[in-house]
Amino acid sequence: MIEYHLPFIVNGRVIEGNDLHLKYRDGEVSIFMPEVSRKVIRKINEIPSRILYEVPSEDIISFLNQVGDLWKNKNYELRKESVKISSLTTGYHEKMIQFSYDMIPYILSKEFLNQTIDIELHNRKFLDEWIKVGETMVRAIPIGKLLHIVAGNVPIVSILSFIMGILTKNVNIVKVASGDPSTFIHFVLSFQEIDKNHPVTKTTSALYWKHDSEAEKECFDIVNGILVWGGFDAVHSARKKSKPNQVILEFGPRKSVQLIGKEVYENDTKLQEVAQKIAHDLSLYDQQACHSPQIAFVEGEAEKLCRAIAKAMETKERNLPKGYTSVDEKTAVSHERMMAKFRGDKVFQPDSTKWTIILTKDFENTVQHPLSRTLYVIEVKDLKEVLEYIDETVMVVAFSSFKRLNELKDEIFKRGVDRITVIGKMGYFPLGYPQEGRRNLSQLVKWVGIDVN
Amino acid sequence: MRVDEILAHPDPYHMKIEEKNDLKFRAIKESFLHHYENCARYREYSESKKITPEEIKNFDDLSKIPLLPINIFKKYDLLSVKKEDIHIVAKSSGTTGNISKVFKDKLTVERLFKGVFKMMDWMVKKRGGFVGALNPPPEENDAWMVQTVSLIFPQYFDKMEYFIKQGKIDIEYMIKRLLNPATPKPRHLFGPPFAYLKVIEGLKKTGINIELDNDSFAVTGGGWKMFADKSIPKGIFREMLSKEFSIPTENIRDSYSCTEINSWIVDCKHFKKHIPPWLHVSIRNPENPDEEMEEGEEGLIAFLDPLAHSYPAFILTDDIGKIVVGENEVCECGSIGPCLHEDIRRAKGAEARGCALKLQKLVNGIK
Repeated sequence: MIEYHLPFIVNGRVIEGNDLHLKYRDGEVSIFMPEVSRKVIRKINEIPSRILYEVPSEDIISFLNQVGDLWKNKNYELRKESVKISSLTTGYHEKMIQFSYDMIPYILSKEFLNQTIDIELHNRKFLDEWIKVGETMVRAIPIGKLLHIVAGNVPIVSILSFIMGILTKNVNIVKVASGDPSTFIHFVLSFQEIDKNHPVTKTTSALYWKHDSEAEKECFDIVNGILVWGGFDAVHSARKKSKPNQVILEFGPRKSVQLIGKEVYENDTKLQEVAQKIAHDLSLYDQQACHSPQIAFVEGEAEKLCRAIAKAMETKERNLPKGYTSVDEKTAVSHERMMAKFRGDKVFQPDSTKWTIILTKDFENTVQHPLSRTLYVIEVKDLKEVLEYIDETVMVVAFSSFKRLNELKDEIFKRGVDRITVIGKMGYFPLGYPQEGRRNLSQLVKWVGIDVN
Repeated sequence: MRVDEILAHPDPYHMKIEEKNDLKFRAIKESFLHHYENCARYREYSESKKITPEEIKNFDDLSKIPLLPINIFKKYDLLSVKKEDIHIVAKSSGTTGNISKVFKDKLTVERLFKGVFKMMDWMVKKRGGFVGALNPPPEENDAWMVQTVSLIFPQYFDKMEYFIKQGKIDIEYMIKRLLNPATPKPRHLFGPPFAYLKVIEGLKKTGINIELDNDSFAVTGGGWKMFADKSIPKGIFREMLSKEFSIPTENIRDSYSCTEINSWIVDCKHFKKHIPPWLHVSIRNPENPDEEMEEGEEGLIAFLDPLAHSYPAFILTDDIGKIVVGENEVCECGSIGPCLHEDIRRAKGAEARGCALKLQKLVNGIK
């Protein structure tokens, strides 16, 4: 039995307590946290919504950058502690958590943050100054208090969501995911080490509550915007609880696919390289992310590629191992393998349920996807045939080459996809990418204007 | 057929273990041969796994019989008889995804009746009395559990009534019926656990106390379904019901079944779920369902059901459970094993994790 205690953070103050008990891995792991009362939420509500209005963006960015510097160090105590806990609660292998945390210094670098504002708001000065636009002096002011309901499937999602909120100078309440309460709480604990009284510290809260609690109701009443990440239930529930005039930004649920052209068979080296990239995309976050591929459409004969992917998955298992697999996940994978074998599909698998490649004929067979590093492979004569399966449920489409990407990109976007990339890069969202088809920072500010004349 | 021999046994839950094992083995082997010969898809599947009826030589070989994942019935019409011989198409009551369709011929349904009668004889000891069903009538719901109850109970009890109509529990009518001196005794109740909770809630509002009889049974079935967040530990639940209806706790029993098998598995008075002697249960390794788990270890519940004549009922469920009384053991209640632990849970699908896709539901839900 492993036990950890996590505090919550209210307006920068660290509050300890053990009233709330979260269990993981069939009760083998316990996390204790304080219970959040209505009083706590009222305390957050006492902060003026636009308290950061006058704080220069440079100060905020510099503060975040210092936090990023702390997290750059793999031996930083809070990072080390969080890796351990996050691995136990998410089920990911510690190497996967490290992989995710390695992105923190990059997304908190001055360059990344400044460019993000410039791209999303066109000019970072809108946040700090009045800029003449036509006959109006325009400024982007915070919308107020934001509630972030984050998912635990990608550990740094909580930090990404928070960055959107703080760059736009909003007051942020992050409801951490039960699947990963550790990452954001440890991240915010770092603020204490830099400056306990910094405006970013004093306007950030990291909490956890159970669904439909009094604290949750109170929180939905006081916020001006909600960023909700995750599956259907989380998104639907946030929509139902929100009030008119509250901004809601939804992130999920989506799936992603790969389109592999016949050129991958040019030679064995090329085939292996492609297989390794497919294996990498498939292994990231054990396929629980929206950008994880669920199906690979392959032009021409696919069995050879399946064998190459299977081999690459064995290697991947060594350098990015699969984490804890619950009985439920094993059940879903085993059942899906049996279904596939019953219908005569070719199934490539190890002795365990660590990964599965299913060469199937019909797209319909992919609907009950068990995730857990399972890839359905479907042969097509021409990649154009895949267009009929592409719709708004698809987030990322990854091609085997930029050449093939360019041939089909417009037809794919017309069907509702957000992003097109090449295999091996599905989990890396480049600067400038409009997440969920939006400029999110622009939605988290209120654009106000003064008549010039 | 061998299976009919066990069904005809005067006291199958107390037969000698050797006799039970022998009859069960022969019934299942016979059943495997029948489906292998008459269900082409199942034969192909068995051949792909390199298993033929000749391989099944003794009781231990039963574990070699190829299992069908339970979702097969959501996608394929599996038949070992002609379609025109089908008597009933049983449908599952699943709350998500597609429903299962299981094709049952007359012989399968007759055996189901015989088996459930034997099980009820074992549980309630005396036929007759009254049963109040806390599930909708068959014309309002085509789920197999509802249909089975509507077919079997009127034949077993003197009188049966439905207390749920148009999705609502009619508390007033229930009170009237249960308290009417003319209602046959003993008065039993059957329904899903969440319906009992609603009944208790309703009775509290009226302030009326219902005392059932000493030999009344309150049986639950069907699980908590979409009310899982309200589920109550079984011990506490039994205490609640016992207090509410003034019946002994040992008469509060839970039952377990699924559309794909033709037996009801019910708790004994020690709350162990008794597998009827004609049904074979096996606990499989979730990582590799071809492997059996050691006795007492948790895993996926698999059934070999020889009662099914019209389709192969060799099923791997997605329910997780464990055996607490072995195949060759006798339970403390005096009946023969095997028994499952009273707690059985459905494995959570991928939709509970990650960014699983239920956009269709999302759109429908909001509109």
